[in-house]
Amino acid sequence: MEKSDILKTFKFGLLFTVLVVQLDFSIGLGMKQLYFSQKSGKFARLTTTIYGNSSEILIMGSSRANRHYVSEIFEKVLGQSTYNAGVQGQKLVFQRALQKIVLSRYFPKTIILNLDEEWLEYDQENYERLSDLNPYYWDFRNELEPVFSLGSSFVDLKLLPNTFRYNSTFLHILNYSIFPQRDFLGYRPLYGGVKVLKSKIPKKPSEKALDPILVTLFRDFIESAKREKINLVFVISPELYKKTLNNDSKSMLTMKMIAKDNEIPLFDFRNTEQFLRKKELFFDDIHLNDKGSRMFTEMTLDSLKSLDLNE
Amino acid sequence: MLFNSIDFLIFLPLVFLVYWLIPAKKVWLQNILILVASYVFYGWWDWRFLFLILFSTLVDFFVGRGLSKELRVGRRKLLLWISLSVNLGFLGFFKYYNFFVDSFADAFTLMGMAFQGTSLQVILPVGISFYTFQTLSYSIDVYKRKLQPTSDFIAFSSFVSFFPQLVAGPIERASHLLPQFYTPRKLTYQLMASGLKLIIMGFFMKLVVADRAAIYVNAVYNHVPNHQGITFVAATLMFAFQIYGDFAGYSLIAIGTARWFGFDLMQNFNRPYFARSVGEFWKRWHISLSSWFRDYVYIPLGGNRISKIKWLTNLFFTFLLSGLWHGANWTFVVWGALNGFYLIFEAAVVKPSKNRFLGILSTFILINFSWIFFRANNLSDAFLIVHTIFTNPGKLFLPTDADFVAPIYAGMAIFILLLIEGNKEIFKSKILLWPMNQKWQSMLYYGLIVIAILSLGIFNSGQFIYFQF
Repeated sequence: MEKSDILKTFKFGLLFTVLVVQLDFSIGLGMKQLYFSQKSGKFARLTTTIYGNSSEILIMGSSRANRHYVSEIFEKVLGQSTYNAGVQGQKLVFQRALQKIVLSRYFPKTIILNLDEEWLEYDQENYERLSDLNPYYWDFRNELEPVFSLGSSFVDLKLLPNTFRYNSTFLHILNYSIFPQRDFLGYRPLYGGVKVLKSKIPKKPSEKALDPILVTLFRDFIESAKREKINLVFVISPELYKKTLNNDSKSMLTMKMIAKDNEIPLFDFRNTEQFLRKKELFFDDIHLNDKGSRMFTEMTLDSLKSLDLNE
Repeated sequence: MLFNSIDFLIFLPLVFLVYWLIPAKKVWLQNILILVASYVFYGWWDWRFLFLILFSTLVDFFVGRGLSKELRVGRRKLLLWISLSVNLGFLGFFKYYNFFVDSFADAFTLMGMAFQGTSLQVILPVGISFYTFQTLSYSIDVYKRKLQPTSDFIAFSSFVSFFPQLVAGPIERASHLLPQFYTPRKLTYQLMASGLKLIIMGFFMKLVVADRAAIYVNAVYNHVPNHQGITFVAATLMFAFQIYGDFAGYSLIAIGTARWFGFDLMQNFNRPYFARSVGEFWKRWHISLSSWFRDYVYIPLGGNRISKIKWLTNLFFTFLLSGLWHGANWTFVVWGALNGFYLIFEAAVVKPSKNRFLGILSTFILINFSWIFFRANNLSDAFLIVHTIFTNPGKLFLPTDADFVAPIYAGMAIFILLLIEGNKEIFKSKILLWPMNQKWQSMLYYGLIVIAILSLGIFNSGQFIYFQF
């Protein structure tokens, strides 16, 4: 390589790098402004959970948590502030990461975690969906880095570009600003119902292999709550159809066993007569509609009466 | 190691720096570095299969040496057969063993006879179809005395395992790539800049176009009974750009990376969806494979200098083989046969339209129809899709909630890609999409593409589709 070529290459390489860094910084800043100025939608609720909320009762889980627990009824019955922090499509790894972030800022009195059947089964999506927390990474690096590193390497390096942290968010933000998503202290009701009941034969419970990392995270979730003297309650939401025969899946059995070992109360509403095959209470097979959610919230609160959540 | 991984982001600059720190005259030392780097690159995935590459390399190197000394026709043939048997034997075992055993079992069962084949748990070594064909081209060319065999084992090994194109091509010919390992390489500003541009465009095509489109395509093709005709049309159109973005993107990254090391790799794609006939499409799509089949299968069978019936049969057979090369599944065989049929039809029955627009449109439709078989998980899915398209147009499936953005982003990216390619192809770049007269304008253009990749790309979708072939 000629000396002049080396200099030229170096010069333009440097200029290009500076340009990309500058573009990333400026456009990333714009995206950050846009992201954190949202008033409704999934990201806005997440931002509220992470920075704004300090409710006494925090409900966590996937969409089944988000759609099933009416925060206002909790507040009315228990007289404690409540926020529904359920996030659509999110599984155990995300819940653990979110718990760590929340506990770094404040300690709720009670966490209600809605468990999903397959949470301990190996699934790469568990780790991939952590990207919802990318915008918050540098504010909570100490909490998030260990969790992000479970499914990825060089996390700090990957999350260095500003624009990458807001990857894929633009259209969502646009959507939420045009069609705001109304929520009630985090709870998002579903309206309408299942039209026709299907004849579904219960299957054998899943015997998929468990991910030992997830088992550890589940234990960590419990451990953290116990350490900070937070009341932890596990609930399993109702389903329209009896999905499996009498036995539980390996994943559910393990979660129940760990809960029992740690004396964590667990209420299982699957196969509850009041909900089984009651199409007027469901939006689809696994999500209750608003009517069903209100009924389920009341039932959950009835079950919680046996516990002293004021401690 | 994947191009779209952080590992590669660290690996590439490291190898690049060490490589250019070696004085240009010490070509042998640079070749050793390329060889080591290529083996690390491949071994990152599974080091055990390095022995397979090494064995193929040794066999073809010594076959080449043998052919250089041997004058007796019989012995020369024997040497060529050794190379063919070893390379195609590996390919056959790792890629096709289970396919043939299962197919035989199915065929016997259909005829009411029992056949107990033993399927094996075989892992398909990444890129075996690519490096096997590359090293075979060397033995065949040496046998045909079109190429002087090399006595430089390191150069030959580096040629076989050259990391930018090792696992997904372009499938280089020894006559083009091997001599580049003998001569001092020169890195110029031009090579660096053009290489970088190709790499950036390659990543855009892979991460923004292909992987975005894949979300919708997978949602439809993996749940065939749940969808209706119009949805299959939309998903197939998306797949056309998914596979193009994925494979052409990989090729661009490979060519760009090779340029950084002073090597010139052949062009693998040339705006294929602007082809006016299926014949032209195959001159623009996966050029390195199409020309390989042309030179080593179609022409040795007689090309077009034989009777028309034989010629058309050879054409069909070549595409059938090409289909099988793509994967051990009947879907690929049907896909290959369909393309063979198109070519026969073009050659023997209907001449392609002279109207440019009609030609492009009809070719695009025909190619898309064949993509249904390429993408479907099995033949029954493929036939169900075709049947549904023609009998039940129904409603277009649009993902809800979080996934609704995937097809929109994919559509936007495809539009940009078509705009750039259409401008080059139809308007010969006369339409000014972006001013490029000044260096800073060009830099800003590519800088913005990098930002588009960072903010719209999919970074967890893993492998390139062609790795599996």
